[in-house]
Amino acid sequence: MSNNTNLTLQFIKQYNGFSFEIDCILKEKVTAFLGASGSGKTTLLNCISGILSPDQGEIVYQDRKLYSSKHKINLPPEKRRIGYVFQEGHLFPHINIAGNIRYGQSRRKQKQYADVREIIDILEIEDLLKRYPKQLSGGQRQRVAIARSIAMEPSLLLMDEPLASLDSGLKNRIIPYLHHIKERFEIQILYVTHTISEAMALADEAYILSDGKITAHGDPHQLLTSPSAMPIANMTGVENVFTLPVSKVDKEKGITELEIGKQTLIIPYIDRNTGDSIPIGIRAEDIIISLEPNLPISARNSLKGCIDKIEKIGDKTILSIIVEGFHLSVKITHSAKEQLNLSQNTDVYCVIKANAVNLLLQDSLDLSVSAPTDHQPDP
Amino acid sequence: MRITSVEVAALTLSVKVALLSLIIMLPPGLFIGWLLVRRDFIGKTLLNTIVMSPLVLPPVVTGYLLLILLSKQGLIGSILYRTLKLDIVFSPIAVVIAVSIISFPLLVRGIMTGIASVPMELENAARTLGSNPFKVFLTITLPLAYKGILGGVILGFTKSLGEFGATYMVAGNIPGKTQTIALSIFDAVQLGNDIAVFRLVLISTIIAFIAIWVTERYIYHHNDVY
Repeated sequence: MSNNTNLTLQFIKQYNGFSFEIDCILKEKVTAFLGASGSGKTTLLNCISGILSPDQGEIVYQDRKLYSSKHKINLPPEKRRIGYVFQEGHLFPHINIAGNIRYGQSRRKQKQYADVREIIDILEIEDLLKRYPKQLSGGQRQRVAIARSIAMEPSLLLMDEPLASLDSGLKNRIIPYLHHIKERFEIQILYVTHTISEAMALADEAYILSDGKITAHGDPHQLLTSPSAMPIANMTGVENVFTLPVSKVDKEKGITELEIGKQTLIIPYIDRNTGDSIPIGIRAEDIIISLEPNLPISARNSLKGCIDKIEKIGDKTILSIIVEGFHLSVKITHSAKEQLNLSQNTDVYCVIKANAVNLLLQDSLDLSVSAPTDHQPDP
Repeated sequence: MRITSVEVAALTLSVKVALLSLIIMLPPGLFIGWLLVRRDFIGKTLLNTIVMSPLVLPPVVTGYLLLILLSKQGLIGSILYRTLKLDIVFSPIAVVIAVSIISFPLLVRGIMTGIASVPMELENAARTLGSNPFKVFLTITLPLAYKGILGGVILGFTKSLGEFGATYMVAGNIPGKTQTIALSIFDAVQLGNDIAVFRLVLISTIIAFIAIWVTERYIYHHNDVY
């Protein structure tokens, strides 16, 4: 990678009656752009990759002008050599997985920073190479999509909500792969998401996009846990973020218990010791409100709390519930609120699936879901 | 009841002409189909109208227009005659031209259906992976559009086999030279040769039936293997 890893983004784009404007220089290894749908995230990535042309301005990466209205430069996507992982993967359905990964690979002969073998190992997709995209699960498909874009050895990788189509459990499994990639390869990543936990788990710097403009930027943890993030949290889906100590680890049962005051929050097993603090996120819409404890349901957690505040936002009701001193935001419908007759100071139970808890770990945690295999697939 | 040598010649000519027109028209068909589906440009509607017009014009009208263009006094015919001493009217070449023009809209329709069924996102993904538009067309668009393309090929081919009006106008009805199977049916009817009519109608019907059946069975209703 050249010494100058700056990505200068300074352009305007009008698109279907929507106006996008940006002016910033990205320097960090992983930058997250956070925004609700319609905030311009995909427009941003499409302009950087060359799929869309801005109306005016400049896009410069490592001193190389990719787009400049002043100099009449507009490199086509195939000349930009920027990796792009799409939300839906967009694997080629008529080519098997090995072929998909090879598709962009052969272009650069000198200086290989990424050995395809190693990429396949890191993303654990050896066993999939001979299959076709339709035979893969959502999580496998996204891993292959990531492998495919890295195999062409881009120095800049764009990721458009690569985990959005996956459930929380799968997300937590794929995030460590992204950490591996971030640490192993000389690659700068621009990560677009509407999920605060993903931004916190991966990014060195975060930008908040709203209505086609940057409204805030800074250190992800400070930015996204501060009260100023609440407006975006409301748009992108409120996420409750806490750091809780581990009280018990049970590898056999596949669970880890976290202490939340006198109560317990059960999450899927992670390789941590008792007493370690773990940052977690729970989306407001992933919490179910119940008036009874111990319902005969599969969700592992039922935390007792008390309603502190009830707010109407658009067509939803946001409850602010105090659980052992922690504020928990819960999003429900108006009709649910009416039916349960919820009001301030009502005692309620917050029902949470263990898999709905997002881990916000900043290191590449080994979830010990699978050990490295000896299996050597055909290239 | 045996098929006559003139009828064999008509059948052979029909098949040869249909194949030849397919080979000639497939590359421009793919290009124009791609252009009409994937690109925006000035005159797109005009191009579409011109390409599709043989579908709605009476074939005799198309044939008459071709006759005017290709005759020794015509816009194209005069140039060909002066430079190459070529008189294509009433020759097998005229059959190929007539058949190609008439079947082209069906071919392009199929190609357009096929190309439109390929998600643009896949083409964009291929661009970001380093392929130029031509390579994207060859490696992504074409293989994924094959069903529609094959449908257009089969329908165009069958249309070519049975073309009558335009061929009659521009190539005449010369047995052994420009007489296709459709024209030989016309002759047989004129001569009141009922057995020959029956024979030729049966052959034509079987060919048409097989073509449609194959298209429906294996192209449009076949489960996706991918």
